[in-house]
Amino acid sequence: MTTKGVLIFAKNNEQFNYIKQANVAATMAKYFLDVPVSLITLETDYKDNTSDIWDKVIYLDDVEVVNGRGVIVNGKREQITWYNLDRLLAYDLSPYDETILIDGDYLIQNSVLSNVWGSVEPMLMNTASRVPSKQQEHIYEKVITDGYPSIHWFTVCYFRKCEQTEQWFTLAKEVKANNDFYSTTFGSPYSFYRNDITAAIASHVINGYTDGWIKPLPIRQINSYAPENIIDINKGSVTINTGTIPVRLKDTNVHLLNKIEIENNYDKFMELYG
Amino acid sequence: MNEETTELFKKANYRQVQNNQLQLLKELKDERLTIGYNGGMFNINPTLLNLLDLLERKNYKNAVIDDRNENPIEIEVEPFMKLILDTYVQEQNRAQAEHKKIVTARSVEEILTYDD
Repeated sequence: MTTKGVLIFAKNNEQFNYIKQANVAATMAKYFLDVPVSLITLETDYKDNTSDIWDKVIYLDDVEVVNGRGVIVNGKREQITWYNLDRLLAYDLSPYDETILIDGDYLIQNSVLSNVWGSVEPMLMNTASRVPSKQQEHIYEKVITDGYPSIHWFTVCYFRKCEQTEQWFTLAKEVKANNDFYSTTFGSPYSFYRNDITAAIASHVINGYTDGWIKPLPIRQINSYAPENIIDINKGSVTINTGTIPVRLKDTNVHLLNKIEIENNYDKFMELYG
Repeated sequence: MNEETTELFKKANYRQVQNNQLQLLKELKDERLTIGYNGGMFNINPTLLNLLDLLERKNYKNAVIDDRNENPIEIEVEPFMKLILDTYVQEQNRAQAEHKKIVTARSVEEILTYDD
């Protein structure tokens, strides 16, 4: 009998309570997928957490500070400390034979991801995305797909423990350790480190310098970028003000990059799914 | 801008929201018509349904068919056919019901709040 579950990394910083966000993501994942959820974090961050959603909490000893990043917090651009909890340790640390790894700001609102369990594919990850108000990808993602390895959305990733997946993670760690070299070689336009780019390059290399090694998930990658904000929440739906039109994401998963919105609406999410 | 033009712009905004919600619904239906079976991932569509119907009518009990990632997957014809046909009918019905609510909604607010 193989074990399966959802895994989330979270580490707080000055602006965001990532563990609080992860509580929401885990609660919704458990509600819709009905599998155990595990958290990877630091003991110092977790000690004040009051949620009992986690089936397992795995503590890291240390965490790498990668760089400052400009993000929008409550409508203002701020430079934040970005802790890279090393997503590439997911393979080593996951307590499950089959894992769905999600970001702490990824909200699951349907059970479609359950179709990945038992997959013959070693890994699944999306390479296409859209924004709520348009079928198009965000302009930044269009740039990187122009002639370079397709961006791999590490936001949601399925993997099962096997030799192929282990080799992919080993290669991805090599890409990360030599980020400047690989970023330059493959023409990444980003000046800061991004796991999505590492995933793209590792997949491209492992497949004999060809895209397509990791197949897509059964769900779409919908990215809601700041300053888009939540205007309504109901069971199975989130309505977002996109600046142009309001969009209701009903029974649809969403990556809410304006993550402060999850904290601002914490009580409502927990009331609906907790 | 006169009253008539103002109304036309309101109508355009309504249509923009409606079109986007219909597109999201179409994509959601495609998600729901994706199923995992015996390790494979299948898109349930008329092509798959016709193939299974043919295998069933020709009395095949088992068969190997390609999933959407071109993995050869062994299936038991009868239970798989039942699963995909039931799923297809259910999801088409569900999508039709939602489609009707979106196209008959009289305002943006109604498009965004039906079933709440």
